[in-house]
Order: sequence, then C-alpha cells, then structure tokens
Amino acid sequence: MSAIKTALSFLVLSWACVLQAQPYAYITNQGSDSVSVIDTATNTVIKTIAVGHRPAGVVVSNNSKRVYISNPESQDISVIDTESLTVIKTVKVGGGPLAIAISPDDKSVYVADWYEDNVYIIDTGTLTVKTKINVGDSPSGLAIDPNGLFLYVANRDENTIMTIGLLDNTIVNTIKVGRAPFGLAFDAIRKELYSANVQSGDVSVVDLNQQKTIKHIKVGSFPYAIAIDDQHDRLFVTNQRSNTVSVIDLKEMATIDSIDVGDYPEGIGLHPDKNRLYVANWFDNLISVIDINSLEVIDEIETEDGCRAYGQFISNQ
Amino acid sequence: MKHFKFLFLCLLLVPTLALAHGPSRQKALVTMEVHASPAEVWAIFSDFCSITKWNSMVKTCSASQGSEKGSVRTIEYDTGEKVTEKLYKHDAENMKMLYAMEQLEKGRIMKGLPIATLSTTISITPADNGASSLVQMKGAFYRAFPGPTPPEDQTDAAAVAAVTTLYQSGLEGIKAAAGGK
Repeated sequence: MSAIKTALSFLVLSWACVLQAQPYAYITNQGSDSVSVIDTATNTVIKTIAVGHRPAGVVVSNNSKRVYISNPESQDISVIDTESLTVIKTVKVGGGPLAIAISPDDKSVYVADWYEDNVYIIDTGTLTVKTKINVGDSPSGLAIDPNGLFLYVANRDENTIMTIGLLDNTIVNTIKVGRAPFGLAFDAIRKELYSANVQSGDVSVVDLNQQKTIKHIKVGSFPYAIAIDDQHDRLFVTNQRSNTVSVIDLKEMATIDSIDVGDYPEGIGLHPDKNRLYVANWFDNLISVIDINSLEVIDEIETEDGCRAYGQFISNQ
Repeated sequence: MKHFKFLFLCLLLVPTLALAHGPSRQKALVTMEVHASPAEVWAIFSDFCSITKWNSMVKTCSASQGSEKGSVRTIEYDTGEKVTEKLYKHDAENMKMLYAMEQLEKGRIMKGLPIATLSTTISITPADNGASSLVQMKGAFYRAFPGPTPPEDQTDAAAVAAVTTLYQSGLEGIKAAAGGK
C-alpha cells in the first residue's frame, strides 16, 4: 500500500514537474487585485490569481515552490503555491507592505513597510511574522546578499541605504545615495550594490568593500527598478517617466543605450535563460519582452490593470 | 466553513485595524478625434504655454525656458489654484509631450482637483490617412488625501473624475481651435 502511495506521489510529482518545465513570470496587477501567471515558454498568461488589495511587490522562492505578494492596501502578504497556483495563506503585515525579498535558503521573507518604517521578517515554515526591525524613512527597496548575511534597505525619504546584519537583525551601516532610492540590485560578482534614485534620475553605485557610493550614473526620468546582466556586464533600469529602459555598461560606468518600452515601466526581471528581460508597463497593462543581445522588444503580453511586478518575479524553473 | 467565517471576520476588521495606510497611483485616459491633420493639431498645443488657449480651465501660464525640455511653467487654474509643471519630453517627430506637476506640499488639497502629483502625456496618432488626428491625454497621479478614509470629494474616484474632466476640457479646446470638427 505504501509502495503504491510512494509510486503515486512520485507520478504526481513528475507530472507537476512537467507542468512547470518552463519558468513562470508572476505579475502583480495593482488596479485589479490580481496576479497574472505567464508561461515564459509561450509568453501567454495561463492563469490569473485573485490576491489582496492593490498588489505591488513580488518574490518567488529560490526553489520556485512559492510566490509571496505584497498588498499595500490590505496590509498583507498573499502566499501562492506554484503547483496549484492558488493562494494558500494571507499573512497580515504592518501598515503598507511593498518591497519584498527572500533569504537564499527560502526560510525567511523580508517585507519593507513604508508607512511604519519597519522591515518585517516572516518565517516561511509557520507563515507568521517572526520579528520586525525599525529602519529609515519610507523603506522602498530591498536586496539580499547571496550568503544571506546582509539585507540592504533603500530608505526613499532619507536618501540612504541601510545594511542590516541578519545574524542578529541589527543595522550595521547607513550609506548616502542619490535622491529617493527605490529599486535595489545586488551584484555578487562586482561586489557592488545599485540603487535607482527616482528624484535624482540616476543610479548610485555602492562599493561594498568600501561601504560607500563611488559613482552616480545618469539614466532617464523617474528610474524605478534594476536588473543585472552579468554576461555583458550591464544594468537595465526602468524609467517611469521616460517610458524607456536604460542600458548601463558597468565597465564604462555609463549609460550606453536606451530601449523604448510601454508607458510607466516599473518591474524588470532577467529570465533564467539570461537572454530575455521582462518589463511591466504599469500604464499600458503590458509586459515588454526584450532580447538582451539585440536590445529589441521581441514580444508583448497583455495583463490586467496596472501591472507592476516589483521584485524578483520570474521563477528559476 | 469555520475558516471562511474567520477570514470573513478578518476582512471586516481590516479597516479599523488600518492605522497607517496610503493611496496607490491612479490613471486617467481621454481620447478625442480632431478632424485636422496631425501637423495642424501639433501646432495648436506644442508650445508649452499654449495651454491657456486650448484649456479653458487654465487661466494663466508662464514658462521658464519656453518649450525646451526641462522648462518649468507656472499655471493658474480657474479655481485660483497655482501649480508648477516641468516639461520632461517634447518630441516633435512623434508629436508627443510629457509634463508633470511638481509634487504638492504635504497637506495641500486643491479646490476641484484633489491630487498630489500628476504626470501628463499628450500625443497624436494619425487617422484617416493623415487627414484626421486622434489626440490622447493620459495621466498618472496620486490623490492628495493621505489617510485611509478620504472625504467623498477627495477619494481616488474623485481624483480620477477631476483629472478626466481636466483632460476633456483640454481636448475639446484643441478641437475648437482646429475649427470645431
């Protein structure tokens, strides 16, 4: 009996794996309280999942089994199981949860609450809030180092990035960057951290060895989020008011190109095949797919109202 | 069933538990066909301070650097409210402009326009083989009221309605300036 059970569950498991042969993109639609699930093999929406009120932030677990969605206006996190593509739990968090990140071991989810100026830590085993850390004014962006030792927080209204040591959850450093830092990206190869600064229209490059900003690189207006392309040593930055994605060469430390996308581009993510970028255009309810080699828009996918996809929104598998 | 009841109870409790709570960005979109060539229509609104000629809700305008990118104009609405707007894009080739109101001081709520930010794109798409123009105004903005329970005339819906009215007034003015067709 138990052998049959094992065989059966194995079958179900392999079937599930076949179903998820390709990475999925999970797109938060802020105007319609939903998440569009895009199969990146065909670039089509395969399911739309109802979540909390005004969803914005998203993170997919490293093992691709769960997706965590932040809902600023219902003040909670929707937890999606990627096998059934359903919400399995809703966790109440703070006053305005927005940016969201996950530890490399998938055990902790970090949520920046930009009204109460806290970072909440959720235990993914029990799906309850473990603790909170008081940070700077309006925390808006999060990044975590691949060793899981440090969490970086962009404090939008005080133009700083805070480094939190995750062994004891204390703030170990505060670094000045440009005006109104929002999206962050951690570069493990170059040992640098990047922030998209909405008000100053640039990207700050923070050298993590020196723990200070070493350069500001001009991009378009109202830059929002950043994706790293380590093959070409480049950054891609969405510019909300230019309707473009800026291309930064990290060797030259300069913007070398700009790609026209839809209106109000926000979330940006590199596909695991490292050949494509997905960009959520909030105004147009449209995802632009960019070929990373030709820098051309090669596909467009319609979503529901107000797609944002702020965070790590594409699964690894 | 018990769980559903519990969830339902939680939903009911949410508004009272919400101490800090903020609005999310809203959209407005108005399109109008104007029976004139795109070049004629572009000539009507492409000057950054021409707005007083095509939007009757705007009474005065002065711009720091004309229609150059980065120019800042101060406009006065018919309500007496004054704001500044910066020109981010002036693209004659594609007949498109993008300008944005500088964020209002905290706590300020304008009469008849309950918004704190507003970025506007105005563009032309040729129609009828270039004999006619589809003129579009689209805006992204936040309502001005910061808390969770705005008065009725300051809600997201009120903000959307006010910006839509502003754009309609503008497009009707452009149409009138083009001969009223």
